[in-house]
Amino acid sequence: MADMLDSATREAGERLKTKVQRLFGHSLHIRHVDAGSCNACESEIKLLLNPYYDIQRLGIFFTTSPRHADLLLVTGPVTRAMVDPLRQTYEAMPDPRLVVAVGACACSGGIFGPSAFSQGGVEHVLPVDVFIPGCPPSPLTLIHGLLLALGRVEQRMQGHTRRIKMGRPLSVITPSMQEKEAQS
Amino acid sequence: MNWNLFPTFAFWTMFALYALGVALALLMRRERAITIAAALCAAAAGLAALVAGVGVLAGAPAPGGALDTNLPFGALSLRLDMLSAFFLAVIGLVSLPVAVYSIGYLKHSAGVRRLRAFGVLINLLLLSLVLIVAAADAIVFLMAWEAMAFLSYLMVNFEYEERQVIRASFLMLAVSELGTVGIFIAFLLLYRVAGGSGYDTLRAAAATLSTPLRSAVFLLAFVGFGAKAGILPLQLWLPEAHPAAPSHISALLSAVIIKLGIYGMLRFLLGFLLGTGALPAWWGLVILSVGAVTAIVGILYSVVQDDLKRLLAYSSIENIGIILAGLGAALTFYAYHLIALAAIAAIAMLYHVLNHAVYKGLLFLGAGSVNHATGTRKLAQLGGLIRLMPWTALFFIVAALAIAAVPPFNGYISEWMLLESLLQSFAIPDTLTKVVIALSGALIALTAGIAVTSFVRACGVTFLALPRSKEAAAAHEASLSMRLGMGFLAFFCLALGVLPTFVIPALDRVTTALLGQSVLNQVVPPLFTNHPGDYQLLVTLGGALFKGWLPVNGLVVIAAPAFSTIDSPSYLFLAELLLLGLVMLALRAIRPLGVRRSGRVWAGGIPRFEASMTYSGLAYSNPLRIIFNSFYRSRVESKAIAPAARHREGHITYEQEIPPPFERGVYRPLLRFGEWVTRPVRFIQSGNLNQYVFYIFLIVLIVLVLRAI
Amino acid sequence: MVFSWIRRGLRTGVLTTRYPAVQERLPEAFRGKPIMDASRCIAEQGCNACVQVCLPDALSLQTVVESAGNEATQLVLDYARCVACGLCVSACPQQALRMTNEYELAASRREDLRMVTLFAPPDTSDGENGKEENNGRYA
Repeated sequence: MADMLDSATREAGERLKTKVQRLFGHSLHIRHVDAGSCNACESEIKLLLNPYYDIQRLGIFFTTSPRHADLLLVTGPVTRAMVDPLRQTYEAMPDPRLVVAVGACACSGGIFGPSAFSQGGVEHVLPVDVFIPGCPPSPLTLIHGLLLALGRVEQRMQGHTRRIKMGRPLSVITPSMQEKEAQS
Repeated sequence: MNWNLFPTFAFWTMFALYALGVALALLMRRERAITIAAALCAAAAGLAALVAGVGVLAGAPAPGGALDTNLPFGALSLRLDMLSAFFLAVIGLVSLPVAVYSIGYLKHSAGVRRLRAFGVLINLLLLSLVLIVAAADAIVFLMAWEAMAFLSYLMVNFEYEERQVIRASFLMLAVSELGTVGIFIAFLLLYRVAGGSGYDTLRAAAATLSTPLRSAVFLLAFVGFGAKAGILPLQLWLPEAHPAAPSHISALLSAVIIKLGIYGMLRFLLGFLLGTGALPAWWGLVILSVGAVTAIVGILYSVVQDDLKRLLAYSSIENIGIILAGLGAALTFYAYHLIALAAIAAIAMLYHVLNHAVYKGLLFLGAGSVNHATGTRKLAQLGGLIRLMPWTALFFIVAALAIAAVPPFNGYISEWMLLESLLQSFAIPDTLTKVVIALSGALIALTAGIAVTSFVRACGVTFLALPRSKEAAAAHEASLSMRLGMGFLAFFCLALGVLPTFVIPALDRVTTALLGQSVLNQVVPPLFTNHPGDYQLLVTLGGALFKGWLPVNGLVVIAAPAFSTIDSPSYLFLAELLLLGLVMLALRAIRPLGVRRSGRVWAGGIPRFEASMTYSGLAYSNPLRIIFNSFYRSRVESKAIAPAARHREGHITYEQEIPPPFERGVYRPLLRFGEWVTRPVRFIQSGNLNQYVFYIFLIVLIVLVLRAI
Repeated sequence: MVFSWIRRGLRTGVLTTRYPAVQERLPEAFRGKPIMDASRCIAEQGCNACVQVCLPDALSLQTVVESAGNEATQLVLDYARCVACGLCVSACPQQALRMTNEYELAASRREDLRMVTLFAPPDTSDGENGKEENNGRYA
């Protein structure tokens, strides 16, 4: 299904693949940081190590020290207090390194959104390589996301913009039209 | 100018300089002038001592002199034979930097009167030390010995405002006097038979003593001088006196004064008692076992100390144990007529005396700089000083490497030679002796390992990491004179380690004079000359490479009848430098291959580093404490204080106490016994002046009556 | 003790999933990814039932000004914010939204998680009105 993706997505995927596949091969060490999540994502992440999903058979391991880590797994919308520790963790990782945002909160701020206390997603703090949406994403989604980061599976999601020409004039009253009505 | 007479000239100038120092200290007015004048005189005299000692070791005629008196015990004489010259060189080598150091150390520290007292006392103390080693008869020796005991008591008592200092210095004096009693009796036993007090007469007399009497002299001398040296169980004054004294006095104490105990033992054992007649083997074994046990106990206590200077004091006890082990090994080999091995062990021991003087002096001077800058000696309050005091840190770390026997520094040479000579014990026929020597060797090897731990801890906790207190954060570098003193000793730490082939011929002269056999050709064979002998391969490898640059005697070899072991410290040093250079070049070459990114230390993503996060001295030594807990009998108490409310923080306190060795088991019972024994006669010491005058009258009466009879 | 483990292991066999070598099928009720059939959507008629009910504002309705006087309604489904609660599926009066059990949702770009449907007013340039024009596939 690789032909489903448009050229920009495909290029990004290729870049990711060449960046990491050559270097990581079949062994990846992940450092997880909870940047303010509700821990539902952590509950799903911990299921990755059980005998059913068993990511260690894929050569993926969890490690505690960022010095040993290849991939930074971030959950949570990045609360204000966790911005600096998250940055320090990223700084402590040796190159090459990847960042994966797990969960709706890490991808976009989720329920909380950008606010005075949350950054609204990891991409505002660190350069993210793979987004794994879901609330929480199931372990299979997580495996797909991690393997996508390693370039071992193909991406399925493809964003698009569709134009639909209506057969009849637009009759929806949009808020801006309401304002214009009110002004005039 | 006849260079041969230069050492003699230096010897007599030394006395004049000490006298000048005393005079200047009494005459000068202002504090700085007093300190600088007295210290410079002491330093110049130290240089003269060094010149005199080294000159005599190099072959110049031995200076000496005699003073005829009308006293019944004969002439007072001085003579600088080989053994005396060696120890004089050690005294000079250490007193020179210590005197220079004291110029900076005593700045702003005391008033005119105390500095005047310091100026006078330091010169007199050094003078007494010189007289002890230069003495050629028992009277001069004993007078100088008592003077040294008393003067060192006064110097340790420098900061007498604190009760701890008074107690420590008095304890030192008490134990020293106890030892002096033993020395006195030993000398008396010889003098009874000899009739005169000169060393030669005593030596001749010792040969005529019966065996039990000779053993008695041996034991008295060993215990008496051992009290000064700090052997078990008479070491109790050392860990108290060294921290209590000002640091330059601690350096002098540890580097020189306790070595005079060794000097006394050598003078008795190898000077007097080694004459004709068989040497009992058990003498050597006693010294060897006491030395090994002293070493292990000393270092085990050193590694758990929180006070930096107590740590160094216990380390001095450990090194004295090592020196005694060398002496014991030498005597044991001599008793079995393996004179060559005895000489090698003796050379190792003398080298260790020299090395310990240098690096322990440097360690104490460094600890003094730290104390001077921060006001504290406790490891739990120091830290991070390497950034604030880089020179002190450098010199301290050099000395710590030396004491841990790391090449290319000097500790490596002497410990290696000592362990090697202990390993040669297979040549001894008696099994029990071999077992004792093997066990002692094992203990010494263990000691060396724990010594590394102790000094990694001392250096790491003091200089690395972060300052653990405000005082440590406000430290400043030591002043120039302190740095000069420390740098001088650090230079010798390196020089004595890289060029032992210059030192060993001098030591060999000492052991030849004492034991009668020269092992120079076995220990430092004349390689790289035209006749290399059996070492053709090494010669072709190394000799051709550096011929003409390096010392001709390029190797240090232990040559036993069955095999030989070879090491070349100067080559090792060159190889280390070469390796370092190659590694740096290689790193520079591969640098373009990788991406370099420098960042903070990873500490869990916390915003700020705190000193409480660093490794503490207690934590570093705790595993050893736990392993050896049956030996330490430490008391550990950990209490959790409940929080005020359920969701608030509570406290946990952790208390650890390690009692000093032998306190409960040996000293307290002995003290109680002594008190019980003397209770009946306590009435004599009533404090009543009239009673004392009556005693004097009574004694004069008795003497007159006895004279008349 | 060990033997009982061995016996149990032999009895149950290998339980580990063989994903990604074998595509795993999740139950139909699994809430994976909601998809939208834009031809049934009546957002341009004023319906914003799904937008009102969406908790994390993954569905949003915006007006875009295409050209002077020409305004279009844009319905954005942002999967990065979607929590797969399924409320939009039950709220839509036209059953335009459907929940699938797809789970391979990761993307390497943020834009790949945004599905935008633009309801443009008719223009007289071509005769095919009411038809869908898209620059991508129905995903």
